[in-house]
Amino acid sequence: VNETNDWPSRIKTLRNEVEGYDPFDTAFNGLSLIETMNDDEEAMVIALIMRETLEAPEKTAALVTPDPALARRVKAKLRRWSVDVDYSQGEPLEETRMGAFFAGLLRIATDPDNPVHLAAIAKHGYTRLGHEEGQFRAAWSQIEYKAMRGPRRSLKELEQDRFVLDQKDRPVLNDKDQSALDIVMSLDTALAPLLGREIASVQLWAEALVTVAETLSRGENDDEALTLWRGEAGEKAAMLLRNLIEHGPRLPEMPVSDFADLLGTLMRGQVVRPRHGTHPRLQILGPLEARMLYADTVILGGLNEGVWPANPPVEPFLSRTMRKQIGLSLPERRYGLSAHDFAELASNPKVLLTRSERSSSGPMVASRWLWRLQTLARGAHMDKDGRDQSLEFFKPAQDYLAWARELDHVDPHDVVPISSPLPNPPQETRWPTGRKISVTKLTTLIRDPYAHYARSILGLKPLDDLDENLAARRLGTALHEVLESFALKYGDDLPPDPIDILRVKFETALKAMGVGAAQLNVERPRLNKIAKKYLNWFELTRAQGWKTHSLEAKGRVEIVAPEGPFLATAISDRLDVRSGEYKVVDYKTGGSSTEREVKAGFDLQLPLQAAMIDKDGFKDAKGTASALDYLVLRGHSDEDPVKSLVKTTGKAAWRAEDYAEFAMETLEKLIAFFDDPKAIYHSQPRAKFSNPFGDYDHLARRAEWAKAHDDESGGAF
Amino acid sequence: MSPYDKAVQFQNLAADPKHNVFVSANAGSGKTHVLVNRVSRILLASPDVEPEHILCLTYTKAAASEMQTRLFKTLGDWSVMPKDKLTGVMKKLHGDEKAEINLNEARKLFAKALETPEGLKVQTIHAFCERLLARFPIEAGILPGFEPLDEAEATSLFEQVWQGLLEKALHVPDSELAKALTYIVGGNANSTIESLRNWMAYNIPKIEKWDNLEDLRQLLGVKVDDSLEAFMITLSRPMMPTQRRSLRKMISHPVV
Repeated sequence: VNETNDWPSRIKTLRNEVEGYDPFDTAFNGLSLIETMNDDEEAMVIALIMRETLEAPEKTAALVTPDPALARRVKAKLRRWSVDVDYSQGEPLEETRMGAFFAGLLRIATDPDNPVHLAAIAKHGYTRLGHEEGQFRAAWSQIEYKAMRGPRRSLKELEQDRFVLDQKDRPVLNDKDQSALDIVMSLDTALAPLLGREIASVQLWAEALVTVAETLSRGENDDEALTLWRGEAGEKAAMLLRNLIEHGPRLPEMPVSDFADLLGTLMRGQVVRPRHGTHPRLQILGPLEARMLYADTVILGGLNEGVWPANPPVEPFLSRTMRKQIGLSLPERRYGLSAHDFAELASNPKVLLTRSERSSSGPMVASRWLWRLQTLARGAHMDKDGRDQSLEFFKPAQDYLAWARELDHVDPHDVVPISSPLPNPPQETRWPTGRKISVTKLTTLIRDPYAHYARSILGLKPLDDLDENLAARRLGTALHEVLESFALKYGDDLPPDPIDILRVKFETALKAMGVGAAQLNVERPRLNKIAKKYLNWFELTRAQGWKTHSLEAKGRVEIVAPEGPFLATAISDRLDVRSGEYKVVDYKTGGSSTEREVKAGFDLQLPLQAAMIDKDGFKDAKGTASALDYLVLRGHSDEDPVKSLVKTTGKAAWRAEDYAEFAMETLEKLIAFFDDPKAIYHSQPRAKFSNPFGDYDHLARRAEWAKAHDDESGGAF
Repeated sequence: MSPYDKAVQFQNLAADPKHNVFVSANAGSGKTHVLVNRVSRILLASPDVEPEHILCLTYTKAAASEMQTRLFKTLGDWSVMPKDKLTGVMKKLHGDEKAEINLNEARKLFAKALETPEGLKVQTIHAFCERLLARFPIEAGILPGFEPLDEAEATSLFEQVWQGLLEKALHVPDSELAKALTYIVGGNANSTIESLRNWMAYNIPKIEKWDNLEDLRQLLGVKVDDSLEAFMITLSRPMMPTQRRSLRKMISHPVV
């Protein structure tokens, strides 16, 4: 077979053996080849062939492939017609639900307070903890939503915090939550055998795992106690764990992470095969199982080099030459064996060969057997000029490939891309808390009316991730709180060691947010810098004669709007006063709006506060605003923290009253716009100032319709 | 001579196994063709050269597949081509009317290439290195039977290492590591630090070269006995464009 030099003459000999009979006319009868563009198309083609078989009474079909991925795909495709076929090669125990359950339990043992690991087990179908089906899961979901999202909190901490009050002094968990929490806490008790040990024998780990798994999977009736070990996967797992308990003492003691690796490796080696074939007429087989096969239609799938035949594994210890010298079997022997399988299978009466030109890893080379077949056919069906006439011979009876492509085909001309959402809520729903808005929400309404609509009108709030480190996001809030309490306590007379006091306060606040010691240690230089910046600024402005007027003071200003009076409110970070003139200060821990943005009306926070002062909207603040400052407190740069909007020099310099007047005009226009019954809450309408990380961009499906070249919609709100 | 003939002549020259050649040509001008021809000519010229002893490295998987497919196609054609036609093809391949041609050998090559014991070695650099490491794990200092990391594993490992560094800095506050972290955290936003550490993770050989700080010192005008702090301060000062360019070149990192 390794000699191809005599093919032309052999072809001639075969043809002349029987007078007037050309073996090559019949040799390829019933044998066809389908080459698809990708794996998915190949699976679809195969599924179609199998489905077609079911149309003819009693006919059978089998897919033979060594590629489990292809088998799984075909299985999935057949489900489209409610056809359920088993894959005889089965799946590794590790990949079954059972495998996921055990792996999940051991992950908890490695990192007990990780809410992601806890949630995976809490929501696993096997976890019932003595309750009715679904009950535990429902309780968990309730508690997770209420109390587990965001920074890590262990179940024990949750238990301790169960009566913690929220900002409005209500218990965070209500009565209904409390009973759900009781159910959830039974998980903590059940997990105990797996926790608290650094290192233990394999036997001990395995026993603990069995105990925990059995407690977790127990149903509400006692007779359901050991259902876990039923079924093919259960039996395999039971055997594996029994072996570990029995032979465990031979192995060294190990930490649970090593035990998890060990069990994972062992579970990978255990194949769970379906006990009974689920389909009477269709089969998916590996080449080995297919040796005794008979089927009316045989499909050989995945015919690519490296798949069928597979490449021999690379041996770390003996090279091919060494094996040859010692007299061990050579790697290429496998090629011979699988070539034999292929030849046998391809000799069935009706055979379809399939391959895909690309797989997920890139373009593929056709299987060597296909090369041989096609080359031979080419040799036998070449015209006088050496042109190939063989292609016809491998055509399937039906154009399955065209069918597959047609099946889910969508004409690009029929695709209408989604347009931007145009919410137009009824007028009476637009101001759920009355005709007023805070300056913070105002910024959202200006920049992204859709986000305002989703958050404030529909009441949709983004959920924190499990185990999310909120430090970066909440840092701002924490710093504001620290600076407020510091300033409240000391007023304009600083204590002797202000920097130390601030530092301690910062650190306490960060710790309260769940920032760990190591992370805190790294953040420390930044916190120092922030404290220094603040104190420098404070001393400088005191020296200039500014006195603290108020902290977190509430301001308000009313405007006239088409649907009646409208109120804007603000909480000012800090108001300083100097002989009847006010300085409005806003702390920023991220970036601040630029002067240009403020003047374009995108951020009315400071200008509106100026207007509030001018119109006596702050209690006890009589006078006028003269300075509007952002105090940018970033710990990773040495830039000047003060960004003043009010400038005294320059052509485009605005005075505070200019800002105030501008803010009132802009606000009036804005509210008039949203008082219009036809008002649309657009998603980030101004391309120039849009950002890609809005919480509501996904909801608005921006990626589908927003383009970079969107033109700016100008002054319209 | 027409430009076409000239191109063919160059291609034949490049495909001649007698010369070591470097080919640089436009896309679609026939580089793969030359490679396929060269491999076939090597096999033709010396029947005792086994196909697995020829290593063809490509940069992409697409190129490797393409080359292997074309080689099989070419050799397959030879095995079934009528005699006259094959003779013509051989002469063209060698670019020589008088070349001595053994058609029998040419026809054998198809099966020889297909059935190479460990597969024809047309691979990406990546696949080749992986194979090499799998063959000599002990020599490379890694576990036999290793598997390359996937992206998720790499990310999680990376995070672990980073947390480990932070822990270390916490426990030994006077260490160089702790000082360096303090310095870098105080002057850079988290996103910058993240991109820096990502770059560092994949450029260890470049970083190891930094040990030779002499060039860097000269460039920045820092004295040998200056402290790390002084060095860092110099680094953070505005630089002349030329200085900056040289520095970039020296450490090959775009962030600085």
